Amino acid sequence: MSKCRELEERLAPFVDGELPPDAQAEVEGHLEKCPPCRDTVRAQADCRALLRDRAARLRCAAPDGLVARCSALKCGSSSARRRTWLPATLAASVLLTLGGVTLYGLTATSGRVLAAQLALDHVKCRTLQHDPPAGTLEPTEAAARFARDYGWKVAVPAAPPDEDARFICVRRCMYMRGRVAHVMYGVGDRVVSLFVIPLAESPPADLAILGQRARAWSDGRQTYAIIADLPQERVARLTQYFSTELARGP
Amino acid sequence: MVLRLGRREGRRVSPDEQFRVDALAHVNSLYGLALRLTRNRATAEDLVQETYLRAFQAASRFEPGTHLKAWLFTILHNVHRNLRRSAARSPVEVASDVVERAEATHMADEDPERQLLRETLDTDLQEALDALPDVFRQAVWLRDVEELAYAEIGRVMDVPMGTVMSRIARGRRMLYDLLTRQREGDGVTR
Ligand SMILES: [Zn+2]
Ligand SMILES: [Zn+2]
Repeated sequence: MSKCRELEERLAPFVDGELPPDAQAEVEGHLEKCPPCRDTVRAQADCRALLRDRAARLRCAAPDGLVARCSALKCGSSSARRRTWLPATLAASVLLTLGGVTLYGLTATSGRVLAAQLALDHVKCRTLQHDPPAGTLEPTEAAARFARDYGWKVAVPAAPPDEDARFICVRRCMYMRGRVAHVMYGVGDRVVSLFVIPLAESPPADLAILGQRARAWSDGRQTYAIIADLPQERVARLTQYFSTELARGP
Repeated sequence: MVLRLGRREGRRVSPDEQFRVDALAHVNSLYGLALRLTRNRATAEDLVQETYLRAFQAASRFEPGTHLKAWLFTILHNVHRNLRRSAARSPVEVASDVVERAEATHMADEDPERQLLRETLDTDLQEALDALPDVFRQAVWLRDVEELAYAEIGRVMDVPMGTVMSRIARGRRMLYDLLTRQREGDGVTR
């Protein structure tokens, strides 16, 4: 039985053909006499066969947005270190084409591109959102958890009281220049996104993009945006509410 | 939607550009590993993006002719480790040594298990994989899904050969036990 102990470590590499020939032969010799080790080898081989068989399905495809962002990165150390994802014509075009909007006439830093990225993320997160429609956490609790998980203190306003609205969640998302805090609310049967961007971007004032209405403002330090599939007046009212709440601080 | 990253005919490509194209061809493998490591899509995306950022910065340090995918995995592994060191640890993590000590013994029966294993649903397999402690999950994934050699896995995870062997062996064993027990309906519940 001490032989089993001695060979234990070699059974996986044995199955994988990673042992030198003499060690391989030694294990084979032992297996002929030892049913428990044969079981172990069989379990190893079966497991390996199963994983290989399913490899293609287990390895799911990277999301298009991620592929676009990575494709936008450039070689060399010059500007990349600063973590500002380069203005990416390719990525932007992919993002916009995905939403059925063409890139024509837009520059990568314009408010429209920012709005398009956020609108796209809004649509993506709305689809990915597996939580129950109304989140189980209060906005303040969610903000505390967010701060703990990401080391980033973000004010998460309560849902507007008079809008048939409820807080859903806050998550961290990416856009082309870095990270955003993405707060989601349910308003009626729609989802409203509030984005907090830790940079003073050039914000779109009020526009429709990818079938969503976008409104954004900046307080000189951070940029905020509301994206929702709601009428213009409704979005204006929400903007009014959230900007007042956010101005009061966390 | 398909993103075309391949070389264009008749156009000369700079070495940097070629490197980028070759590296980007592994995006699904990187995302797959990132997803297994983080079990969270947003974090997995961050991880992959950061990996490419660093890989492109370090492009000149890559030795052509060596295994590019393994090199990228190494970067991803390091980024992940650093992220985890700096972040407060999530409570669902199980210390690997606890699991190592509690590791299961030999199985009894012969063929029923084999049958069960073959019929494993993709979702069950994924859940079982995600239930493994990080280091075992990563070792098994790199070996059986990504088909890296033991030596390459050792470099990616920065551990000696003996550790690679035991992590693969134990990881598969745990997975096997999870899958066969799960289907018999005793023990594992979720
Ligand atoms: Zn034995
Ligand atoms: Zn989002």
